[in-house]
Amino acid sequence: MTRLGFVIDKKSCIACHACAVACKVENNLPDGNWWNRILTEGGDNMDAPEGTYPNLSLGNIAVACQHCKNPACVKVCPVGATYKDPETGVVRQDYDKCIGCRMCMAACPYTGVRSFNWDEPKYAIGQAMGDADVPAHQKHVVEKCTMCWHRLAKDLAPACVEVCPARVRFFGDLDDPDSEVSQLIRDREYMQLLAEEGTKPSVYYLV
Amino acid sequence: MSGANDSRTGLTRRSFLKSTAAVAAAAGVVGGATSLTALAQDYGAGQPENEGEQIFHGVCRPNCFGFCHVNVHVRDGKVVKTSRAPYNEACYDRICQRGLSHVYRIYDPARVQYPLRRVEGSERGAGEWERVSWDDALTEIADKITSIQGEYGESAIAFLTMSGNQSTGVTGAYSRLKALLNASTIDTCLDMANYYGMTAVAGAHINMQTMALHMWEGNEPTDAKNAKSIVVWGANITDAQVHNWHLIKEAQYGGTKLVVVDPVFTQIASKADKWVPIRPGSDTLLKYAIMNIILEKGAQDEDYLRQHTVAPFLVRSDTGMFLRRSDTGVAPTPTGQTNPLTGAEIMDDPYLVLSGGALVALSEAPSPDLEGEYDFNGVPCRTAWEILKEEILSHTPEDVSAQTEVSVEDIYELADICMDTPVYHYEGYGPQAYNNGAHTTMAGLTLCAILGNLGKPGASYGAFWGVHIGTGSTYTAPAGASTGLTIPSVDFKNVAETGKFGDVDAPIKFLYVYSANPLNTHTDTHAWTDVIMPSLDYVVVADSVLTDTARYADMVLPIAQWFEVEEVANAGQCYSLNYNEKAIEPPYECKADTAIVTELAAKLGLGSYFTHTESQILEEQLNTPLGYMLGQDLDTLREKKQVRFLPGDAETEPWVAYKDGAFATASGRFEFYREAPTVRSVTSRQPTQEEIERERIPHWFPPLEAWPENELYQKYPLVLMSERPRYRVHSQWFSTPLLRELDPEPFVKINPADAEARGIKDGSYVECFNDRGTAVAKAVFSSAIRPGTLVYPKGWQVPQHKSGGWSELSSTEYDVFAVNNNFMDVLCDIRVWEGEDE
Repeated sequence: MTRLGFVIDKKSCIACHACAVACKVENNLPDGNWWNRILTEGGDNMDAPEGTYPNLSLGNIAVACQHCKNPACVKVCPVGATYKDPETGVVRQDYDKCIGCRMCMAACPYTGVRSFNWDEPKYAIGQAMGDADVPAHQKHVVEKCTMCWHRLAKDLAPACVEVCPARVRFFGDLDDPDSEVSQLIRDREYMQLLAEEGTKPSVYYLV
Repeated sequence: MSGANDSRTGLTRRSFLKSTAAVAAAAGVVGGATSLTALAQDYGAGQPENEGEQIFHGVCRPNCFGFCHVNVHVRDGKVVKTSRAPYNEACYDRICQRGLSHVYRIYDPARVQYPLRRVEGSERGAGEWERVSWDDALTEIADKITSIQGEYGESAIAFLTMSGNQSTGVTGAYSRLKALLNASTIDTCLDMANYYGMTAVAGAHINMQTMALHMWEGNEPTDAKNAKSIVVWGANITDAQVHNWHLIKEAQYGGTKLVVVDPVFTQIASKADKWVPIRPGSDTLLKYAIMNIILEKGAQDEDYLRQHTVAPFLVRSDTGMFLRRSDTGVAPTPTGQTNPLTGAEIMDDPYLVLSGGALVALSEAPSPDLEGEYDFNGVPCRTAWEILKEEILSHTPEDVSAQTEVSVEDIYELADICMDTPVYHYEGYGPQAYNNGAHTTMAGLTLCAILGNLGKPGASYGAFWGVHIGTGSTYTAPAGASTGLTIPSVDFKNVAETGKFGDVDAPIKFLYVYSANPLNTHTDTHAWTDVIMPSLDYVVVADSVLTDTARYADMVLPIAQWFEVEEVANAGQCYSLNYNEKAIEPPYECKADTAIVTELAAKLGLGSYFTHTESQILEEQLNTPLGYMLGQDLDTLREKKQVRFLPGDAETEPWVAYKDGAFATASGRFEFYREAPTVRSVTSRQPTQEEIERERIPHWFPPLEAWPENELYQKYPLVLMSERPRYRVHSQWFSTPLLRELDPEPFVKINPADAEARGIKDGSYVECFNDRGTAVAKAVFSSAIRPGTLVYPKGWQVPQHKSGGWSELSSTEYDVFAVNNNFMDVLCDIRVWEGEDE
């Protein structure tokens, strides 16, 4: 079996947002739509640490669809629009089948990784961008990270991995014990988001 | 596998069959991250990635120091994406959030689409524009140049540029025009204090074998891994120079300790093994305290001091000059060699030193005395080392702790780290942004020199940036260099007020600004809007968006952006000529700068000097005999995309500065003591004797404003600091829609304690103010901000604020030696904004 997933070295992530911007451009995301976001662990504001000056700590966490091994979203979708690709483990979203009920958004414990297009997608620059093979965005459809499905088809890593200037994003087959990602989580301490929910995310954060 | 007949497959668009088939073929290899990365890098210029898509080789060049190579993806004549392109050295492959957002920058709805003329009768800056044709615009500009030169003289025309497009074509073409017009230059004063501080003590290294000016010298960042520790002095690497972070990180994973000295708990401070929070403007003191501990522990490298510094030189107490043989009445003897820079013959007049207490020529003293005094015909002399030592001993760790608010314990720990060499000191541009800023660089280099922590792998102090000086100098001065004036921008206000530059008449009446936005990125907006602009008869700004400066122009010329021209970017931290292919035609009526210059020159009767196309202008500058000899010609660049102009190899043999203790100073040694302090740039002000004496060795003196003992502090108790932010470089990308989604409006970071004391709520609008101006922005609570300071991200334009703008609060006061913009030497206070909300 293949289970594609990400390893993100949280220790060295600097919240530069290159991964988020690459995702947005590559996938032609409409205005206001972000599949990949960077959250601050600390104060309430971006880059604001926890503690009192000068006793401070700050962490960054890049959050997108966790492509769970046991995805909560798939179970609740009434039409099978969200489903798990058996060959790759990628949790996928079929725009044409999606009826916009947003059950998946409610069921997913990772708030904000999915978005719903209330209106016709708009672009401040008035033109589409990104990869030609990305399907067009539709009104009244739920969207999320596709793990750059169109790039996997070309044997390319997801855009967020290629661009990371901090070189902290790794991608590969978690079921292959020799893959870089498997080695990293074998050698390093890691955490997962909401592991207690039993979703078995395919994203590991090195700490 | 989700096949073509699988009803669950949603990708019904044209890509469907292709995608699924390719997934089937690739199913066995998608887990191999290495092969994926290799493939992802493997784009070539013009190579189709998708059907109907072409990829061009671009260079992102805002001068964040990166100069990253990018793939520019074009479909149907439009850029649809930028992605990471390889450098020749894999360690330099990178792209960042700004470089990824170019589609939005190119097609930004705010882009200027055609020449704009200020409506006659409207105030400058009022925003009333009319569309004019290129022919009308350039005819008007040419007429103004001619009539102003006729009335006020040739030098009444001035050009101002900065690093907005650090490239051979644009810089060369404008320089050529400027020289032919004998026009004046309004010269840069941005981040020049540390440049001046470096040249003062270590000289400015120019490598004539590679044609590199080592503007900010240091070891190549890929060398940081060879250090035991990296000490970052006020460098916001994780936001401003993202491209270097992975090199620091990899060093850290290899066992190198990371220390960050910064008043602000930046992202990189949060990653450090040790963060040393420090009072702004006091870094020189901390360096002196470290030197004090070095002496206390006897850790100085006396051999290095003897052989590679002026430490053993005897200083005359009457003149401050080094004692030389000519002082004894022996005339200097000719050497038969000529100084290539001055053309003058080099004369031999050896320095005199003490050897076992006896006065001898330097060459006769294999191990000169470091300490000692000498009475020379009644003139007391002592070694330069004695003078420095006296200054060092006056800064005890206890005193410095009180001044810097760094604990004595932390000072000792930092001293231990510095003494455990090699140490890679990475200097940023924060500490030099105060009026005393040059001395922090002088002190930092001196600290390293007394430890012998220079010139070896892992041992370095400095920022790192070089520029190619070109192989075709006649191009930029075809009829000789311009006879115009060179006025430092911080002095421009004084010149505008008096019409004089020193003793010289300087009626500057016409300003042409390109690749720059001084009303925003320089200090003191009101100096520009209230004094400089009103003194000018005509202002031209060539830019792609309406910057703060463009809004004050009489004529705005819409320029082609980076990927719309063929260019060679010629600077940066990779010390490379970087080749940029033209990916698309300039949109709307936008024109390449080189084309603007060519057409303007024709209207000025200088057409015979500008008969070439954009590409030929590059060829003329690069395809010189020397260029071909060095492999720096355009043909090679078109093929290889990148040619390094630095010896060695980034990965296997990184550049090491000051190798073998060689310095580009008059003595060839490290000159922590200077005989003849020289200003970085001539201004309308002369240094006082007191300032000259101060300048001989590194000194700490208080910032102009930002210091508790300053009187203004009672009225304005907050130091207004700034950061080079994540989403802009200088002011570039200020309107880019995609980035504005992440970062929609100006804000100021404030420690919650300072905010609460003023009744300010998180997220509310606040007004920062002093006697010079105001800026209204959103308050963002952050404990990363040192109490008593504020931090605002730079680069927002005035209209993006509710009121005012950040550069209103700073001043054009400058240190007469460093001649620098004191960005952070600013006091202010902050209050809840009472203005109208939208």
